[in-house]
Amino acid sequence: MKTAKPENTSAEQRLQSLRAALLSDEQQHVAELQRQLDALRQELAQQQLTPEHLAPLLAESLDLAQSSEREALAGALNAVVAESVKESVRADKDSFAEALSPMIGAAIRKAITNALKGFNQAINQAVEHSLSMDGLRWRWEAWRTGVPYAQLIMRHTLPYVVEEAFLIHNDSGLLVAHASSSGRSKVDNDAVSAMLTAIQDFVRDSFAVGDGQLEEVEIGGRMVWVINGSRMSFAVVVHGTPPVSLREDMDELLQRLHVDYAEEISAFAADGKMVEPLVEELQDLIAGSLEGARQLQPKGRIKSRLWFWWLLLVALLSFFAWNGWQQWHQHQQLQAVKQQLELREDLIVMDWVVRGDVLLARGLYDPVFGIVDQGDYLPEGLVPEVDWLFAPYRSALPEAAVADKREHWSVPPSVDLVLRDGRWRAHGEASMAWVQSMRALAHLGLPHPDVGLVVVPEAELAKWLADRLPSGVQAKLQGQVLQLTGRVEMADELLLAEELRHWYAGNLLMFTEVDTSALRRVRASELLRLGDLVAQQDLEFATGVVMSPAGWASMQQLADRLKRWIELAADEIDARVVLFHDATELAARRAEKLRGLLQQQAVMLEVVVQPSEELVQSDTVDAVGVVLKQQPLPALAITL
Amino acid sequence: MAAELTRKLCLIGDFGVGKTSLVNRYVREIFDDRYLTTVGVKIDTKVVEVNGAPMKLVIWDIAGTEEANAVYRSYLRGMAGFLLVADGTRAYTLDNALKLKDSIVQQMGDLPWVGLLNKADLVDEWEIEETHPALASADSRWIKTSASTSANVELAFERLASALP
Repeated sequence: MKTAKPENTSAEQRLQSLRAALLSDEQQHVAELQRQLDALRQELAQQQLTPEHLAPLLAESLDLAQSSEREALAGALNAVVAESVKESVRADKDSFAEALSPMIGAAIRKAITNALKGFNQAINQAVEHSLSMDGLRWRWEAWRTGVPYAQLIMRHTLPYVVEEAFLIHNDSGLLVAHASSSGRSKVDNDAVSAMLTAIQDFVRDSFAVGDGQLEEVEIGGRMVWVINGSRMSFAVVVHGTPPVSLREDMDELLQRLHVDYAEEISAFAADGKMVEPLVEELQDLIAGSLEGARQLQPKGRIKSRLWFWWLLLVALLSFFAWNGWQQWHQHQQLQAVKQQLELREDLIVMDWVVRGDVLLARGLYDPVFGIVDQGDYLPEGLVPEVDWLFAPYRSALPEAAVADKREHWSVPPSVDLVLRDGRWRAHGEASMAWVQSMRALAHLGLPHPDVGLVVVPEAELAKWLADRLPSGVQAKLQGQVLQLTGRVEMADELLLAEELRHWYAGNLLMFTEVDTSALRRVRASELLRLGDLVAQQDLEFATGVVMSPAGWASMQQLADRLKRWIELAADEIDARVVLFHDATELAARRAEKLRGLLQQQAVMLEVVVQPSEELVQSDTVDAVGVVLKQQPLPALAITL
Repeated sequence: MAAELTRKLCLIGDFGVGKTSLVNRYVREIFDDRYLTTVGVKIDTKVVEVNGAPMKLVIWDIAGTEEANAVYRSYLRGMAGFLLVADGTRAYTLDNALKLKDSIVQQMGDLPWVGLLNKADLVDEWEIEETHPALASADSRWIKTSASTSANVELAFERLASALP
């Protein structure tokens, strides 16, 4: 069997060889297929898709996805596309810009046009409101908040306002509801509504544009927008530049009104009665637009406010005129005051201006002319506030020199001081003391005024003289001469001479001469001696009232002595002779007899008879006294 | 007099029958007559008293036309009644007016109307016989008017206003 086995093996080999000879191409092909299949399997197992695989499928796949899975695809690609666009812009800006420019150009033009329109309107408003109350209020607000004025205007002014709104019944052209921002319309709204409908019809039918409608009419700065609904049309007159969203809002509103007011609209078709709730709706719409754009007023209202500005203008003009007059008047008054000030020779006004409410007055004054007090010159309340400053200075005016000297020499007001021929001369009335002080200056060789013409009041001079002249001497001023009268004792005369010498030496005399010629010298000692002799005279009576011869002789001697006394005493000394006697009748008679005898002897003195209690009763005249009436000379007593 | 109720009226008739003159006699003019030649209609309003209540008439004075074209029909839409105007000195205008009326009634139903035979002041040129079928009947709605003398103009408007629904 061992041999059989090789036989079997060789048979196998032969079959193999035959198979290889017959099927070698197919086998190779199968092997290749098998290899490719394995490779595919392996690829599939690894799920590795190569770009080469996907490329042919991508376009087809995207096409399929955009029709069936559009949103998902858009979502999926969104981020990628955005990133891709960014990347390509970064990589090649120019070609990107080139591709976009036709579109962007148009968009920018449109945006700029709109922006300029809005800006233009904002400028118009700004100009229009620059002087309005709102404008002023915004300026205040700008100042207060620090926000720029321009920015505030933009904030306060919306670029549009709905001025009028019409809801028009499509069939009849009748007005279902109407509202206006100004409250009243100048034209008949029913007619406007009908006419608008007629024009709508006319445009639509004339131009035969199918369902096309007149949607917008532009007149000056206003636009009429028409929104057509199934039963009603909605027309608004808009001032300014309304946003596109307004049309959408109107469209929405119209649709809602159709639904909400279906019954009212039907009723209107039957009775033509304006629907009040709809009017309110329109008013809300206008109010909504006004809320943001309250400032954009219709021209008519601005005009209607003109009266206010006129009133304000008149008020301002009146105020300025009044103020101007007030200032002019104040200026005139101040000038008058200034002129008055300048009348004072020493006063120099340097500044005299009104700054704001304050009068600034500056200048110089010579104090010898007195101070400059504003109260003496400025009327009360002429200027709210006064800044008054006048500084002292020394002027070279003669008046100033006079004032200066007067002060220096303490010249009393009653004395005038003048400078003549280089000498100061005083004249008038002054006290003795002042005159003497001036003479003292002269005596010392110091500057002094000539007081020769100064008069001292009589009473004062008399007292002064009385204090200095001896008693019994009277003085009287006769012009420049002092006359002395009366009598003077010898001793006193010496003193008087000494005094006069002193006056002359001190130049203290206010009189040029002292006349003493009328002064009588009195010898007091002689008078006293005579007085003693008179007192010692013995008078002897023989019997009764008859004098003895010795007594007679004694009586004659007494009479002579009395006469001599009288002579010495002159008229100035008034004296009398008193004959004292005791209580006896005889003594009284003897005294009386003696009095008669003295009178016979021409004794020109008064002789009185007087009883004296001191005398002892002895039938004699014991005592005779001579009493001098005038003091201060001592009394002379004569004892008999 | 404020009117809560408003009614649309149309003035219908041939060219030159005096529609505009009739309206001008009757109302305060709001729009210029040029509207007639531009858009073919001129609108005026007038407040009248009907049964003691004010009623505002919005009067569409429609330019005369040879035929009732689309624009013309649009203008008639929504009217509560109409004034048919013919010129008494031109008989054919009455026939045209009657034709227009028939056409309107056919299209818009039996609306109240009043006929005005205008230019009644021009007696010498009068062409329409009293025996004309439209005038002869007892319930004739035709009134002789004159825009020149104002004769019966007010009456015609009031009669129509009181016939309005």
